Amino acid sequence: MAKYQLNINGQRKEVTVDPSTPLLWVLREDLKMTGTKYGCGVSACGTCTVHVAAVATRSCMFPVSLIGARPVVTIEAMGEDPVGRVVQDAWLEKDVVQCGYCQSGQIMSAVALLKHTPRPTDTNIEESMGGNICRYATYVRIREAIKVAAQKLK
Amino acid sequence: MSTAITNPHDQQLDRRSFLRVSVTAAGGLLVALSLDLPAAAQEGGQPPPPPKVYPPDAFVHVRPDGKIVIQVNRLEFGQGVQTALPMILADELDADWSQVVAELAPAGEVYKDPVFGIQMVGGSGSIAHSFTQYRELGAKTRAMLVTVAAKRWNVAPDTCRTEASVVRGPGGQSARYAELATDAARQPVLATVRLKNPSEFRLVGKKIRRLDSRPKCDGSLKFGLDLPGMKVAVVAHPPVFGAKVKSFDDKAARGIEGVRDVFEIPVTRGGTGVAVVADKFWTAKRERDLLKIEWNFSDVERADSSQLREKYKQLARTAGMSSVARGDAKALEGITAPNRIVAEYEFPYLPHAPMEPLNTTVRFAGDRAEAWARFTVSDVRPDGDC
Amino acid sequence: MPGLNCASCHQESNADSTGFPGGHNWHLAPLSMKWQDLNDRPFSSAALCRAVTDRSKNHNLDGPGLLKHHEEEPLVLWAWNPGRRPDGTMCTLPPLSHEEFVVVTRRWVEAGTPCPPGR
Repeated sequence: MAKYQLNINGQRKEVTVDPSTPLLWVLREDLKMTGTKYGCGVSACGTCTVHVAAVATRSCMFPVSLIGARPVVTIEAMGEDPVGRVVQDAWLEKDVVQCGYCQSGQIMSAVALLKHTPRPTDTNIEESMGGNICRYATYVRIREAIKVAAQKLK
Repeated sequence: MSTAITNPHDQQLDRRSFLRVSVTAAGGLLVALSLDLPAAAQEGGQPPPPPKVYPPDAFVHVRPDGKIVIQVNRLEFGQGVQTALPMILADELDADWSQVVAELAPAGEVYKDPVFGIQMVGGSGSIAHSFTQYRELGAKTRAMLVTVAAKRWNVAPDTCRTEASVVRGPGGQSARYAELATDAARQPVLATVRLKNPSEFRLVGKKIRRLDSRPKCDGSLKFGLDLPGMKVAVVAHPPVFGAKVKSFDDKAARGIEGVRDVFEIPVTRGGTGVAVVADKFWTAKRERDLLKIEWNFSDVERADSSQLREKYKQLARTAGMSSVARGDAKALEGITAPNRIVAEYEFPYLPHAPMEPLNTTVRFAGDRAEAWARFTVSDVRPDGDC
Repeated sequence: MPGLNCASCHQESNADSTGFPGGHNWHLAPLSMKWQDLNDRPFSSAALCRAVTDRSKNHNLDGPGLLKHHEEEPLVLWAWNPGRRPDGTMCTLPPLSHEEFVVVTRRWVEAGTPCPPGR
């Protein structure tokens, strides 16, 4: 067990956990923030996506011992984020969600994309979003919603 | 909608007959289903059951604070039923849609699919089988509220209009559903009620946003794995269906802080596995990975992929059960063509695999247990099995 | 895996508990530096040697540049520190030590980075 000081959504949090614990489980079980989801545990599906130092990161494979001082941002903070809010509204406008389980990860990936590439092309979208999988194939609406959000953020 | 599927030629409906009858039945609302459902299979050969009278209060709660809570007799897994069925009820009820709260109903007799006779979701049955049911529930609830208002104003009920959770009288009187609810609950439930003409629909047929969209976009909607206060159990499954644990060494596992218990459990297809129970997932998973398990494969079916593939290929060349027959395939054989292309397509096994991992949460309290899971069939039998 | 930012999963160091390798500036080499053909067949030694010494494709490295690359580049050094899998087993190492790798590189560079004949 070791103590870690983490920067989560701008707040300082302290946890005492085994150093090997992935960030995902620190968020979900130690910090009770269940917005970030567990899908595969092997970085293959993207449902666990968060931002670490503004990079879309798979929290399921990222041991807490490697985070250091880097700021961590999760889905819970997207409502207050200027890009996050617009993306969430676009998701609603385009009626994207079905079961919703992948959508926290989808939104986190989309926000990271828009922050780095404010006018993404279809290729940008596929390259950045292609690792977030959805069994209900909401991909077409996700692409449309990203474009709606990009428009609004102009 | 009636489920009278009487076919004088079918004395005993086996599964094949049920499929045929349901596809050709008037209305075409029943989709061919390959489930073996005793209740439904019996219905086909018997006279239609008497119309059920559902107690509205098991389905809709008009609260004093104005909220209208509607119970949905299905599992929501993305198909939208948690919005669609409340829409139907709210439309007939003339409820203020912004005040509607949709809840997933618990296990219960009244929540059974009216056609299949068990509580389930599937077979494209949610709207097909519960459309009229939910319309009637909404209309009956509306009727009770109007009756109360009409009595208060001493007017005939049919001179009253309703919209957005308000009853309006002929002389300009008005009363909110929330105010009328308590008295309305004392009204007798009508056996039959007039339903809207489709031209009167305000919600049904219109583009309405899902009720669960926003909480699914901000991480606040709780899935099964998100329930608080759980212990976590992770299972080491055998590498082959039906294999059993011969022995396991959990020395490494027990030493770790947070591991509660490690024991053998039965798993699917007659096999056994080892469960690790811990306070947290990562603890349970790590210890599961450290278990040294010896497996007993003696009872395992000896399947061979290449043999199975050969068998499937042969089966594919034989005539199967006809699902749809259109046109004349035999006519093709008589045609001479310079190039005849014959191809075999192989598909891998593709399970329905949503991103949410299979999970079940059970809370025990004395002799009661509360279970939360993705049950597509949540029929509870008297002996407690479900 | 479709295109993803490397740092989504790979960090500055190996994450042994989750089995994910990591290293400084983790990234794939560009396609222009590939060592196999479009049918996933590795190049012959001759073709590989030509590819590695082609200054229009290898970031303009001459012989001494290549030697320094082998000696010091963090991602090259990573090959001798590939990490462990979650079950504790070590990932496989190259068939020679890093020191030996540098020694043979130096010998090749001093000989003028000759390539085998052939295709």
